[in-house]
Amino acid sequence: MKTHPILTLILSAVLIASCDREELTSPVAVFSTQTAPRYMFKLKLDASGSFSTVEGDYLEYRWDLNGDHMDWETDWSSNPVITVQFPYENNGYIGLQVKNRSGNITELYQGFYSYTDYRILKAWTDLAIEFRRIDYSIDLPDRFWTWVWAYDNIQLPDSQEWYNFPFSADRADYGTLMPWAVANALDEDFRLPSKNDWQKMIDYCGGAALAGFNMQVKAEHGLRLPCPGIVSSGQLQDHGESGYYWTGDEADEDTAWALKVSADSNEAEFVILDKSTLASVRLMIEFFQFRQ
Amino acid sequence: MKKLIISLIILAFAGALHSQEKGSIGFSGSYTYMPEYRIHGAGYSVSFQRNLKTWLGLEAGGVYTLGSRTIERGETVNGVKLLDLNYHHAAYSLYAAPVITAGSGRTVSFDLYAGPVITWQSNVFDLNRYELPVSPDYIGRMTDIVYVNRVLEGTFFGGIAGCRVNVRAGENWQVNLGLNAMGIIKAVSSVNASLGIRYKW
Repeated sequence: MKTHPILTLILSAVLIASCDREELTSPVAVFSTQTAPRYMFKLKLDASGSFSTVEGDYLEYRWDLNGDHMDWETDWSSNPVITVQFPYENNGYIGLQVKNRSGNITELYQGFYSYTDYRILKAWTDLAIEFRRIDYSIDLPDRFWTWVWAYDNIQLPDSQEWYNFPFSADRADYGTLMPWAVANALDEDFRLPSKNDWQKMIDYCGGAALAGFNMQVKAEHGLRLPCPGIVSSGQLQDHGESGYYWTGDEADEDTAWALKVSADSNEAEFVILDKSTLASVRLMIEFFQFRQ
Repeated sequence: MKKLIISLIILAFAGALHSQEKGSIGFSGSYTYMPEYRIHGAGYSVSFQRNLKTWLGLEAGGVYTLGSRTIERGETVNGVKLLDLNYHHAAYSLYAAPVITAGSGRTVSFDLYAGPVITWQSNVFDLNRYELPVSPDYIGRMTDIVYVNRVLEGTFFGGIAGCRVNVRAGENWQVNLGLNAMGIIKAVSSVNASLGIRYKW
């Protein structure tokens, strides 16, 4: 009786049946926005909360940014954070796939809403040339906050003290470039935003890394800051490249802080300018209504 | 491997057709374990055996197995509630195998068999189930519980090999205790322990 081949087969079958144990797991996919989503504003989608249930695993991410379930707008990347321009005026879905080392994928679609409570009005001021204002209504836990910003760069009549662009269309777009002392005493009600006020606006617009873009973007609910440049030593500089906006804060007796945004940068930064430098101006005012 | 399977099938059917020897029919219940996925289950089988010689027979049979496994988790990590995972397995298998018998005609006999298997399997493995944390920035998700699974379903080939201890329980009846391993290529393999009865004529 030749049992050896049979025993070999038995052993082979047992070996096949007892092959490596496989734990089937896919990653946990989680993502959120680092700042509140606003239409056309850049924001960071953050999937760093995703994790694998397998120790030492490696994750990759890709995104369906328009939520159409058709194509993935990004390639696989090991970076869980991505900067995008929020595409939805009201609400919509964004999809994420997370893949682990063994190729198992978890897919997650989340709906986001974009809502900014604002209205654009004519500002009644002492200034000779009118400007529009944008009123943001913000509901805080203890109060209602009406945050009013000039919607246009402040424009003044022609004078030797400041700089007006030669063409009326440019004046309407860029406003007047004026020294700090003039900017700081324009109106009784509207004030030059302090550095802190600008910082709040930077935070509102996604933080310093993205606020430069978001404050310039041509979205109706944004400040839409243009880049008129600056006049220093009698020369117009950085025209079309950067915008310098006075803050109400002096750095010292001769200098003051200004906000700088650039056409080719997402960032917003504070810079110190000589007070005699001619820069742009946005005014602001705010009201609070405390809850009963 | 293919040559071996084809040879065994030809041998089994040719033997069954031309044999004038007596045969038997058996029924057994089994406990089944799938080591790769650690699934436990149960099943039953029906088999027909044709004896060619006192020590050699040919057997053909059908097996049905059902198994499941729950991986208990129930923990919350980074605000994400991890839910239990479940594996489900169901399979219908047909096999043919030559059987070598030692101690034929005695009170206790011993069978060895090995042969090819064709199986239809349906396996569903949860890869993940979890409940997402609440966030005010969302208006909704496709679902608050993300469910990811892998389905492995279809017809697969493999082999079976096993042994059986038969104890005579009457003139035509045997009780048997068996062990076998069923290796399935590209699907779920199993090892089985069975208890059965066999009617011989």
